[in-house]
Amino acid sequence: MTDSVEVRRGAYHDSVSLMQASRTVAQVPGVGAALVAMATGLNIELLTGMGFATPEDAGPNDLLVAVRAEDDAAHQSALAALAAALLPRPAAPGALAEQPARTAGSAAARRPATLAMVSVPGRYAFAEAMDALEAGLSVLVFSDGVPVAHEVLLKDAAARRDLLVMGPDCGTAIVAGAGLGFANVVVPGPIGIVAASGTGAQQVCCLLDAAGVGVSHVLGVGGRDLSIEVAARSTLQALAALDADPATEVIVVVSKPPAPEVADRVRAAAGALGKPVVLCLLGPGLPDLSAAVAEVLRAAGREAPAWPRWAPPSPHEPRTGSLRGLFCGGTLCDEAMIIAADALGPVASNIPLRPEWALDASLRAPGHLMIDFGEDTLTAGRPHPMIDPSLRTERLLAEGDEPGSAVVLLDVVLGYGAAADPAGDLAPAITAARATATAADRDLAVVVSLCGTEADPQGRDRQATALAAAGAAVFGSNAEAARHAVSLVRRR
Amino acid sequence: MTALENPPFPGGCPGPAVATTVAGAASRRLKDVIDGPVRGATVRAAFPSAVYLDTGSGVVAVVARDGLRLPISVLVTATSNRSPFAAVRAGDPATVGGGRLCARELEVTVGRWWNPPRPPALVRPEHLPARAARLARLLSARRRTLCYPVAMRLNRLGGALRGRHNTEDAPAALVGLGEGLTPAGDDVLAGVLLALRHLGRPECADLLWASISDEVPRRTTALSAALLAAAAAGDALPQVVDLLAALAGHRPVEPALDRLLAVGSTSGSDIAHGLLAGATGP
Amino acid sequence: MTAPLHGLLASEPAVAAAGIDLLADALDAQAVPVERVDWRPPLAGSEAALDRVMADPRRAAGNRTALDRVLAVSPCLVDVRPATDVLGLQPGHFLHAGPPINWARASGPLRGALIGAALLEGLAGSPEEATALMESGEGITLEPCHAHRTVGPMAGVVSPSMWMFEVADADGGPDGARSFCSLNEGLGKVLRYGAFGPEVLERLRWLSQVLGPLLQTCVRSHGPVDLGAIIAQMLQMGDEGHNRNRAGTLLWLREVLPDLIDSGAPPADVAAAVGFIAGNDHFFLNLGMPACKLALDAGRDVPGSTLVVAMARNGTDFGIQVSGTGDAWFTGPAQVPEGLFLGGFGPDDANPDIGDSAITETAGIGGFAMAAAPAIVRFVGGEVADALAATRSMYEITLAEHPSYQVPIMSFRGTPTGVDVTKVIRTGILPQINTGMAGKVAGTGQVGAGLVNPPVECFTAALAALAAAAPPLAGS
Repeated sequence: MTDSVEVRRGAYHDSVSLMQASRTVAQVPGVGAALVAMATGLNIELLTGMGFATPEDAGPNDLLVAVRAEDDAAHQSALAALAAALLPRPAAPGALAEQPARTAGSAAARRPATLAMVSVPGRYAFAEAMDALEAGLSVLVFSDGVPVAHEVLLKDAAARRDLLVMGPDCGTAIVAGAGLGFANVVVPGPIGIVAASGTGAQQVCCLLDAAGVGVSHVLGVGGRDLSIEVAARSTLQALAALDADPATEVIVVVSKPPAPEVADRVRAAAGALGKPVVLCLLGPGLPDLSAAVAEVLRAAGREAPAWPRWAPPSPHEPRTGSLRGLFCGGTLCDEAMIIAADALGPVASNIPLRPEWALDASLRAPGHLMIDFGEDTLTAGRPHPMIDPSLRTERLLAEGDEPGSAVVLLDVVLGYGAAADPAGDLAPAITAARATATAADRDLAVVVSLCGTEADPQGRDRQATALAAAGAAVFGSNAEAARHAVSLVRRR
Repeated sequence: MTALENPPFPGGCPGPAVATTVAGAASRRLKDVIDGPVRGATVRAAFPSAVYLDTGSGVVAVVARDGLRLPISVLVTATSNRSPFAAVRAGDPATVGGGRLCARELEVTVGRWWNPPRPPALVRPEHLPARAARLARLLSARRRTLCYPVAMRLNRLGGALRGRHNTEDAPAALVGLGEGLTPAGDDVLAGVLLALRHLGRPECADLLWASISDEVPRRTTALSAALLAAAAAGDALPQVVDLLAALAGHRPVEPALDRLLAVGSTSGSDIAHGLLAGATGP
Repeated sequence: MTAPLHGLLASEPAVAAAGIDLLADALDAQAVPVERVDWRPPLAGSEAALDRVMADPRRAAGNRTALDRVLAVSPCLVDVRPATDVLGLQPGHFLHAGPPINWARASGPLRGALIGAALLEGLAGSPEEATALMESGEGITLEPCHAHRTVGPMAGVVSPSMWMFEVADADGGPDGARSFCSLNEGLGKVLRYGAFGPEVLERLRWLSQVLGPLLQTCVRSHGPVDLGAIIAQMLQMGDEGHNRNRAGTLLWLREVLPDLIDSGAPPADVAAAVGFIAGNDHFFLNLGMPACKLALDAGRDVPGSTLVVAMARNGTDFGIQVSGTGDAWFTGPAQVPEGLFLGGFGPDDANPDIGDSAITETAGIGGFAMAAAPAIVRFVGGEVADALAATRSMYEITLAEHPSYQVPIMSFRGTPTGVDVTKVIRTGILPQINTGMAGKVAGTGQVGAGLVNPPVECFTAALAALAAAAPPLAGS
């Protein structure tokens, strides 16, 4: 095997396209390993970790092409496969064909748009989002890593123009039926959602769908909107917009508990609206999301159903060892930690409930722990784990080998934006991890929180069946999944 | 023309194996038929901006972005000048169900659902007669009159609605009256039903619909029957909903009427006459 | 009652998407119309300054103000007068194209033109004497044309005895702003390309002694000539206003011909003047340029505006000026154009880019209107599609579409007008300039014509200055 590491200057591609290209190249016969990625710090670390030489003088605007091939022919095939994978989208034929727009403003000028979606690397998101606002569009900023001062500037510039900034770091929105970012397929209905949490909003949408109740809009506001600095700028605009929207009958706000003075402003604004507002604030001592959805349903004059579950028949006896939560969705991780910590005590995490429970960069610790693989530092320069679950899958396999681990709790999020077949990726790893544990005379329980609707492209029931067949207990309610996982851990 | 009986279709797409799949956004009125099991259908009509699939128990319209957004539509993003339905002809076999629609090379996968628009609630009902009078004056000023037989029968129906005389057969006399895919009599009836539903007399809409719903499938085209059923439930084209919103006191009547008059050759004006009749209370 | 957020929640959704393709694909799958942005990172190293300038609250309104002023100008030819009268030039005072430069750094064609001008003004008896005078610098003042409301094609040298076109806004009144440009000398061996032989000087003397006074009489009797109207028409007749001015020249001549004939000048002079103008396809360039200059000068000095108000080259440096940064020049090395060469000349004979004529591109014609003049594409051996592509790509870096300068083949779309420094930085797309090429050895004259771009440094330097001039961020 020989290694080659090439740095292509100024050749930009988005991280998802590069992940797909990496995968294509790695599958070329004779290729042992491959990484095609922008040369961010994290990706250079990844490259070094794979045993490649570290390139000198490569910056985040340069493309890394690293290939480990058994001979020159394989190397050439790998490069040819890469070239094919990175071909530009075919342009419309003919001399009069338009060239693609190069800025959000230019795109907006070409065809009437109601909204811009910005998912460029966070370092560059501010300029693009400002441009969209100046073109008269509300904008969803999917990108993370935007400084809070820039967030405030964007939101003030938007408010002056009667536009809305959703984000930064807004993973989920549904606007007039269009699912943006990570969004489940739901029927239109009376519930309007304002969400500072993407996966929180997805969980609420999916539970409402399970209860047969549709959603008018999900207006994401970004995880920091309810902080003291941002002071609920977008939340207050979104509340007013939903209040005026004839399709919305009940409004739900999904967030972590905001700073008290911000919470007061939101409560005051909510109280002044003509429609009922339910605050789903996720925190210790507060109702979980499933309970909050039940309250929403009551406000809409409906009863909460039993949440769907696909539990395997095996008896669930508590076992000795610790609970390991491996999550893609930050809010789902948070909710599970709150439930677990309440029953089991300290839970170490990279998004810890208390500072003293923080995990170090190795993400390893004895005892109960939960990792949010979607956290900013784990997604710099690489796709979100809902799109590329490989880091999480590796960790699941490692937990099979970990003598102390007794129960693994996983979330699987379906819908637009998410991987095409998450269960197809995860089920073999669940089987393998359980088999590894069994070989070491341990019984590793796997619990899955499945956030999706039957209308999602992946099909909720199909995914649930595949996961259950691999030996996982599958729950539609994240809170129920977490409680089930906790019940499997013997308390000391 | 009555709806043909369609044999159940075993599944898959009829026609050539290679289909171009496009995404569609479907009216929620169609949820049951589109998400239900795959069944056979027939292409009733094919135009540059729309094709109509008759399932035997209803009609699904597949509509280009610039076409009419009927409440029984699946919208695709292509505009009619891109000829999205060029391969489809009237009489072609089709299938509907399993989240998809197929007709020859056209395959539409539904990826989004929308609710047909509804007008806001009636405000200041005491001003409704003035708004209706304005509508009547504008229709007259634009010389958009009904053809004689329809006008005569609508007159009788109007009298019945105002409770002046008992004419139980008045609504039925309009069903299927006229020519084309949506006969003028049906357009008028749809307007009456919608105005009753949204401008303060929903119980009259229910009674009116109950008096004709059995006869509708036998006496008019499948498309017109499906649109009448939608109108009875309160759903209509956005242009109609706009004029209803104007009559309900939320926007000016004139521009809303002008947008509606641009629909079809006479359909828009026929519906407007129906709205006027339904808005003119006892 | 208007719905909040401009009716966002009630409108049929349609999205402009920049970034991850997969997210745009998901919109396709939902039948949501989506316009994709082919997004790429901005020019490396400019990120912080770009954020700073994008955050400047004065920028958007400033650009609107500057652009409105530019587009409101209706340029008219109002007079023809000697430079010494209109610019107050004294003997030894020379104007040149591009950003400021001294003799030592001046390129061959600029030196050639200065030698020729010194001979014309009688400051030296031979080219050698003229060279020595310029080297010594005694009694010599060199200044950019742009500093005197003037533009000059190629070397752009203006000396006191030259006659100038005087352009004013139709609505500006007697004291309104003015712009100036010398009379075009024709093609081949000419001063503006750095030639200074006897035939060059002879033609310059004829321009001052015969053509200038004749045109003065003619323009004064005609009254203001609407140059904006001629530019609008010439774009619809296959000209782009920089490298092709054939239709514009004839339109202008047609306009003033009766007054020219009726000027009372000897018929032989009139015939010579008409023959000279009609035989010089670039005669109108020297009218189009001051028309563009007058419009752009109106957009100067708007705080926060990122509008480029001048692009000019002196044969050594390429420089730009920006509305929000006053008279500062932002420069980088001028590039050698790519294109076709005359006779036996080749790329090695060509001097780097020179001339104020990029004022046409700055105003939205020239290379920006390439689609209006498909014939120009042959300068680079390209196809008609390349002309369309060139104009289309300029919309990505401009602020507006010109209301009256239109491109017929693009359904009369207005030309891309008003280069925005931030858009150049964000897209990495550089302005497309059509230009003539001068020989690099003084005295050679024209060697070809082609296409060229400004160096990127002009824009990164301008961005840094705009960032430095931006007010502090609130809360930081």
